[in-house]
Amino acid sequence: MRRNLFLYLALACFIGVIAIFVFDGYMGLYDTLHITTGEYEQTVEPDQWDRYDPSVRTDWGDKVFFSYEVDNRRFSSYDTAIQVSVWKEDAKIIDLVAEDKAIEPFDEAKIEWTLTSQELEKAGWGIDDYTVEINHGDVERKIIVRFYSPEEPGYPELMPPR
Amino acid sequence: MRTYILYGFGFLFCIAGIAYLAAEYVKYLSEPGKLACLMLVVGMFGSLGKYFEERGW
Repeated sequence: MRRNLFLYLALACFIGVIAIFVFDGYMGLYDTLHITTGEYEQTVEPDQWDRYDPSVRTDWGDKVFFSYEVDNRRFSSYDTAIQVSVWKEDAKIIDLVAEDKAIEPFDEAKIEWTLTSQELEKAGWGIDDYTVEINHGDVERKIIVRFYSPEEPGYPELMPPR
Repeated sequence: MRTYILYGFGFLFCIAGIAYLAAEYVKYLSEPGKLACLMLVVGMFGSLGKYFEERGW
């Protein structure tokens, strides 16, 4: 036992490092977004935010449904103001959501909102690309929403059946 | 001799692979997590060194 003491110590340190990787990877603040438009639903997982800004395409006149979940896997409560707004060329167009949330440790909160072309139309905007921005604490997420004219779809038209 | 060269390559590739994976994981660790890992890694190599020293290497 004494002869291998340092070997066991080294093994214990190695297991400790692996345990920290697992524990630290689980802990933190994680946010997931579900976007539904028409019959299509897409989910943006927490690890995808750092890689790219998600985008969604829809016809002008359709609604885009958003469901945003914040998972607080920390030992302290997360008190924050969640703000969602629509931006075009560095200018804010519409405020969609402004909510104060207090998320208990190891609990999650969910907010939902809808973006419609009518809202954009009311603000004087038309068929174009827009950025939906989610802000809370030091977290900033961006989603590109591309509106297309239903008469000129931005994707290949289906061949009519013979 | 050739066998030892192959062992050397295998050893180097193992170290490189582990270092790459560790670097990828470390990116996602919090600052206290990084510090704790650093201390444990120092402890691990220190203990390994002591173990081999006691064995007369």
